[in-house]
Amino acid sequence: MSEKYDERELEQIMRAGLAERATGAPDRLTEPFVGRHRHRRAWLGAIAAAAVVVGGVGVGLAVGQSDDGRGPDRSPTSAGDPAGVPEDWRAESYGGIQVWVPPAWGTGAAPFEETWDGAGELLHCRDGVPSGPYVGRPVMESDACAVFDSDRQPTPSADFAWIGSVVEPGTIDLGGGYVEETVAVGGVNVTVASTDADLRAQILGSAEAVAVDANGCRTGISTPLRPEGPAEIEATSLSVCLYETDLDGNTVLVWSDRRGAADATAYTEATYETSQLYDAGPCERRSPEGQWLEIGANGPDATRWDVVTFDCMWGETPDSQYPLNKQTVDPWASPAVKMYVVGPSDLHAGLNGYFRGILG
Amino acid sequence: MDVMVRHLEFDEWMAARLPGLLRFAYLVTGTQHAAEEAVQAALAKVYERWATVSSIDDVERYVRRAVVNAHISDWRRHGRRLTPVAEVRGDGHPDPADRVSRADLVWRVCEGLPARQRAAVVLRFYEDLDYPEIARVLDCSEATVRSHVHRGLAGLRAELERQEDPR
Repeated sequence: MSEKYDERELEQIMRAGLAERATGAPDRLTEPFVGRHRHRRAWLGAIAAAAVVVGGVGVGLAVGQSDDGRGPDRSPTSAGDPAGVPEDWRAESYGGIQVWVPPAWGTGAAPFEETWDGAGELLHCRDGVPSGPYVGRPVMESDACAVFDSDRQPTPSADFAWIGSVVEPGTIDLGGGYVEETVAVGGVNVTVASTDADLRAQILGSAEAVAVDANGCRTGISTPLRPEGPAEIEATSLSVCLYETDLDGNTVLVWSDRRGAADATAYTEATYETSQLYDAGPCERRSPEGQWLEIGANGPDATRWDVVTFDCMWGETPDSQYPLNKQTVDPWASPAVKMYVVGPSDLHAGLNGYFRGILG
Repeated sequence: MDVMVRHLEFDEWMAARLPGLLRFAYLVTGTQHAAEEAVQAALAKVYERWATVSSIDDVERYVRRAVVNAHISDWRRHGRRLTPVAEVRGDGHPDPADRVSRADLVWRVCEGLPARQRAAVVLRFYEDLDYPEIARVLDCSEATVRSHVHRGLAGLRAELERQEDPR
């Protein structure tokens, strides 16, 4: 069947349409060029001015256990397990610093210094005030941001630990019996607030700089990664490592997890099955940018490292590619993944609810 | 390079290129606000490296890449999402008066494209760059660029035919 529009006609229509659309473009910047003087960007100023302080509303926390009760197979005896920490505590790491926390603690956001324009304002961007103890990382959980002032913090309603904290080392009385203590470890500040001095000391005492964290995730990434390891493996656990790479190529390990044998088997089987008929289309492997994951399928003698990126909505094993869909994501999904990973939702492959969506 | 000279050279270049950059960014990002954001971020990076750029061609390529990357990065960082294209379905009684203009149709198709595909289409049909140059801007292979552009045109063809035969 001949097509109604040939290539040349389509190109002409496209050119004309884009040219007409471009007439609606601004011809000057609403805000003067700010790069030279390092002023804050307009949108961030608007956020700060709005300074939405969300209060009084308890929100559910992402806890280290899946909704169906399957607990991740923690590995308390892994390297880095410090002496004196209860066996059921779990490791949490950010930016090469690892701490151990009680199993019921959830995950959340910590204040951070915005560095997009060098203004250096401290913001705490989260989706309400946590109602339970949590480990916070310097990430945007939501676009609702409050300007953070360490000297004017509200009394918390639960214990928390912040890795990569913006609070200076020292001790602050937060009221209500809560004491916030901050120490520097490997150049990174770790803050713990609790009414329990022993618990505070125990968590802070567990903080250490690690090259590979207790979940098996590398904390220092200096080169673009490639999938590596044996293509076929009898996996007994999964290392789930979430990284973020900025535009200058700096990469930080944001969050990690370790899943057990059942999830590891489900994952390797899903990647094999879905890769058989998967057509990756025009997408090609690029240097990681933004958020991406390494999924390590740990076998008895080796680990197969896969790389998951959201540009192409795929994962790559050492010898194949597979789509991100319910089957391949479910084995490593968790409330913490939904907390930290900005990803697709209802538009893609039944992944609604697996990742953080629009604006938190 | 003397700082004052650098300021003057940069200002001169920016004054000449700003409207064009904003139009390009507008087509890549889809909104005036996002276009200004992307251009601000791109200009900041160009300014920082102004003393070391070797040619205006390099600057043009660099700033276009920075606009595209700033847009994609912003989407990732803040969870912003492109608005999916709304499929136009007829009711079986096509009325020419109800048909959207071709410019609107083109834009609707572009809005539905992934960010890099849309950037490739804009670079090809608005900026008139050839495939090798687009590949350099987007830091990908020429084959990928051709695929992006082909998919953009295929989407346009499908939308045109759907509009003319809305069943």
